[in-house]
Amino acid sequence: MTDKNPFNSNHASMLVADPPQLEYSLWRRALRVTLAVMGCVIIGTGLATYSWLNSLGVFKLDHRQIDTLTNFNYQNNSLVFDRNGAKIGEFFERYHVFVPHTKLPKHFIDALIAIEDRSFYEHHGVDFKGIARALLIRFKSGRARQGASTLTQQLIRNTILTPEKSLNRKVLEIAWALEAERYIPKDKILEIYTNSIFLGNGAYGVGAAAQRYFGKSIEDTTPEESALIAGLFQSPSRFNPAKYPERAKTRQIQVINAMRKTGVITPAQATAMRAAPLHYHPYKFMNEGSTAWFVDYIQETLPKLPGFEIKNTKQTGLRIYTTLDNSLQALAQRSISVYDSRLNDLRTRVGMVPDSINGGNKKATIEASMLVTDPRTGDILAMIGGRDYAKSQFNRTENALRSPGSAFKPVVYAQALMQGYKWSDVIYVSPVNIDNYRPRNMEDDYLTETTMMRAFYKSMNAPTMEIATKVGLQSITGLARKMGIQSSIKDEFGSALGSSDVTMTDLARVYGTFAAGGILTELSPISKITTADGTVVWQRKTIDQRQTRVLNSQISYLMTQGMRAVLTSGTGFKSSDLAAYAAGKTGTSNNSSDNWFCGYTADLVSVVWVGTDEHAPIYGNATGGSVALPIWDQFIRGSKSYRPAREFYRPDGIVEATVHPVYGHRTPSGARMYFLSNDQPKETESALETMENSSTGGYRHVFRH
Amino acid sequence: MFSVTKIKVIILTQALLSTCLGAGALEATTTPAKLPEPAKVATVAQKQPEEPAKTPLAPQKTPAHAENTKPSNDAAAEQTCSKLFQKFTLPLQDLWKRRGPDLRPENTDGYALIEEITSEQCKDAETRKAHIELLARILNSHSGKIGVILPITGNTYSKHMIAAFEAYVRSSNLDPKKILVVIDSQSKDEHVYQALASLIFEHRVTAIVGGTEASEATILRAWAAKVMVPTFLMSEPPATAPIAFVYYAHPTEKSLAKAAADANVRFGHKRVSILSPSDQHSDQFIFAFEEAAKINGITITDKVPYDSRRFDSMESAARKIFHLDASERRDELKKLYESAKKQAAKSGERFNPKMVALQPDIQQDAVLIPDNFKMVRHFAKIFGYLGVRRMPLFGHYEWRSQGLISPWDSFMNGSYFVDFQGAYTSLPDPIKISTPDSPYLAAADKIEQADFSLIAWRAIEWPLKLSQKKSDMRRKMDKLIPKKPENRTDVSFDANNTINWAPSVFTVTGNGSNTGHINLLGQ
Repeated sequence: MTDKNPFNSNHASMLVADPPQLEYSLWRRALRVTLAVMGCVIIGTGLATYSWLNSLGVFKLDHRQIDTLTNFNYQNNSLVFDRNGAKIGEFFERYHVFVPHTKLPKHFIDALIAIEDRSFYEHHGVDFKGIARALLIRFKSGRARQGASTLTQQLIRNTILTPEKSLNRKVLEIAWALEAERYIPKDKILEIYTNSIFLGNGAYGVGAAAQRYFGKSIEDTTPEESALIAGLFQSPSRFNPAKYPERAKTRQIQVINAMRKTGVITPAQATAMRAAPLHYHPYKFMNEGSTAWFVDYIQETLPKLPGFEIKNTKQTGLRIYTTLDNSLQALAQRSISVYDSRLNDLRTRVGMVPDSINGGNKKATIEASMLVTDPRTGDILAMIGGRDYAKSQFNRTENALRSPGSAFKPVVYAQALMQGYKWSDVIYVSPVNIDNYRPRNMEDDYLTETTMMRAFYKSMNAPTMEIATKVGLQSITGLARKMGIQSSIKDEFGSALGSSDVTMTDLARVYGTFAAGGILTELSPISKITTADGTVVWQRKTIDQRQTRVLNSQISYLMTQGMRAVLTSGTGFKSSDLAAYAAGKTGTSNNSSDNWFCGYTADLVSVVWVGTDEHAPIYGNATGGSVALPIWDQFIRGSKSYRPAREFYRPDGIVEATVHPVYGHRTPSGARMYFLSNDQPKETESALETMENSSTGGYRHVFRH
Repeated sequence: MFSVTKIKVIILTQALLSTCLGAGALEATTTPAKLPEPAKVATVAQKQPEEPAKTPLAPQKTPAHAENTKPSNDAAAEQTCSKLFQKFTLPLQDLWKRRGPDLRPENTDGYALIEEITSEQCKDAETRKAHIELLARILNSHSGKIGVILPITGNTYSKHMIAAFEAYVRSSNLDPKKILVVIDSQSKDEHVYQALASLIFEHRVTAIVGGTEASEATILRAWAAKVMVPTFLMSEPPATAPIAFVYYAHPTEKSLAKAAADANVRFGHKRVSILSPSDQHSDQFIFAFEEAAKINGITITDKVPYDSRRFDSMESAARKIFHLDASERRDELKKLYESAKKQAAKSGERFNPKMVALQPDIQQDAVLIPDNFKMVRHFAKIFGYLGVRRMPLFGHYEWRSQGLISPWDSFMNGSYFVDFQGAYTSLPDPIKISTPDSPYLAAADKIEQADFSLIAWRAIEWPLKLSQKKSDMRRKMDKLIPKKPENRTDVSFDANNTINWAPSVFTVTGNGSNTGHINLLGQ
């Protein structure tokens, strides 16, 4: 063995020629210098290391961080309930399903420890052997092939530190891991770890992952399912079974192999586990079914609630009590679904739209949505944002701005009635020119006459334009805003025919006002919000505070009768029998890209829309009456089971008369019309009818014998 | 039934016939034959209508004188008789043959004998005398009754007219039941003949009122002079020369058109376009207006027909009068189109070709639309649609309706129309109708009543006057009706035997409410 001591004989022999004292003295001096240098180096290094570690905070770790870790709140999902207290959905920043350590299945713990930290129960936060092993493997292979982080380190990395890769972070990770294990029991660390790590598909923790991938609690998973979940900790996105099933299977086998190596399972069990097929759920949304749109809507509504100050609503475990009626919601969904095949057929008549994914053009998809409200309370009772939430999460009831077409006309006629016009007033149907705006109908419509009532229930455009010019655009748009249209209304006469886009909630407010006898009740999807412990943090205003009268009850009643006539004699005649207790109006925009039926009973407002998101035209005479009305009809008939039909309230000051639908005079065989008292037509014959019945075809035929 | 023997007896008792008819007794050329004036006979006939056949004609010349001049007079008398036979007897025989089954000879006071007379009887002095005597009785005598022939079945206006006739008679303190003989023509020619036969042979009326329908008016017009009965027709006169005994007691489109032209002059409208209904019902009015316009120095800029059953036809007519499709404006349209396209591109808006339209080229001061108010309302809309902001429209009686002004269309402001009815409040009390909203507007179900009542009221005035002139021979009554100039408010007839009926002009205005106003323009 070579003596490397600087004071050994070989070195001393080199000084033999000099006097021995001098040699000795030189040696000693050299030794001192060397020692001094070495001491300086060591001290300097030590000081530098201390200084470095001190600068990192290793020596003054904030124990509040440890408290944060131990007090980790897993139950921060906000839950949404229907009007009867049944949970209909939840929302969150991170999807958690808390599982206490005691509920973690053994096979899962075995799998996790086998693949992630075999010496978990042996080390004190840092597996130095593991580090050495990893370094060795790295040295041999030239690249990192095995991680050496313990579960504790991973937990620290994911909760207290940032995921950056640096020496500083690694040192802190080790320090925190060692510190954490001084204060937190192993089982608790395991519990925090298994409940907090992101495992893909929006799931945080194994409880959430078991729900997302297998639709069951972690306690109910099989060993092979547990092995798959355990495999996700390394890289949830890379091994996501919903996206990469083959990779996930490979990873699962790695976990099973590791379990076998650690001896927690036998080779036979490993073989069986490897062979067992996995039935995991494909990716799905957190909230499913038709209520999902409503839950989304609730999320969007919370920040806008007046007086509600909680900002981070996704992490505060709110309990949100809504007005949704699950029975009506299901009925609304069925009412659309029952027409699925018809709506699919409609797609054959849809125009082409650009295909943003594949290029070129494609047929647009037919969508349908429905909003149901209670006109007296403003409660949103049902909200169907589209035909299939899984395919499209876009909520068409609130977020789609669409042209209402003739569904806007009730506002125009209500304003006319308010200004003294009456249903029997005669209009000469001809094209209209308003500041060079010249909408044209089919020419067959012209050269005719009609009462205002008939023009309304037959949804005639030219008479409506004429009325609009007479009553004034500003008064119409003003009333529309008063009645609840919050979307912007264009300052042009086309708005009278529904050219300004609105939302379904806009229309629900307008028709709700008619249904409630002229009182607008603000739509209100939430009745109360509490914290998880039941403390009320928000409650909606009283009904009186939410209501505003915008039409007098008589005008509102006249409009309701006009909209009953839509069903008995107009564009909604296919549902004529419903007029006994319902009223409504069709709407069809240009090229039938929007097809509406907005209707109501005394207790329910239901707005139905059918169209395409791309505003594609629908050919073949699609109208609100032909494609939206059947859905509305289905719903209103079904709703009788939940809201028994009753007649509309008739205020004082209303008279009825049978009136000629075209010429506006009273006649026993005419159409039933309603008027303000003393405003009904007095004439029993009109000159127009006299002319029509004349044998000469003329009027005042004294010269025509 | 009278027998030939009986006739001969009568003929013998009237032997002086030939002396009654001198050569000058007949002056019938274009005017009715001038019959002898058997005042005595007429008087007797009126006093003793029950036995007219027994009343001899009063001789104008002595038999002796007759004897002396027999050869020359006889020939002349025979010639006269033949002429009378041709002119009156044959038509009367024809009429007798057309009588209805209810008209029996015994109810004709001997008039039925006319059917027995032949031209041969003119050769014999005695039979000739009897012949002439009978003719004289038929054509001269009258009962003071007024015959009314109306198509009661199937028409509603007739009842209004009859009511007005009765009201007028009552207002003269007479009994309508004794004065009026009303017969339903059922709008059939054969019934008109039967009615005429009945009125002549049975009721021996003083005058006849009727002819509301064109076919009836034609028949009555043709027979009035033949039976020498003043006949008052309640329809538009034809554009032919007037005929004796035939009077038109009906407002005329000519007078209305003249009033319309006068109104244009008054409003300073020198250039007028005409929209002409293709069903031709207003052709007469338009023709008359064109004549009147020419006289008044008004230029007709366009005359465009339209089919009132088709919107495209009406729009096309309107486009024509405002030169919106004129080939010479093609370049103008092209420039407008390009300019609008550029403007849209500049503002980033979608170009809408429907917003590009030529502005109307207005070359007229007013537009005549002689159609009903409904068409006028539609034309007003079309004009507005084409970009015409203001254009006085004018028309006639067919405009007058609540429908013209309600609901109000401001385009109608400043328009006007002519009518034969003035204010409804000016109607005579017995035929007055209620006018709850305006003195110029009536309820739709009262308008026909008002129109036909007024026509009837005015048409019966002269027949009733004549019926009271019992001492006058009927064949002379034509001369009792004076001819007076136009534009009189009283009931009179002009040189063409057409009633003088002053039209009224109404203006149309609005005041911002949902109903406009119709006002009578001061004369």
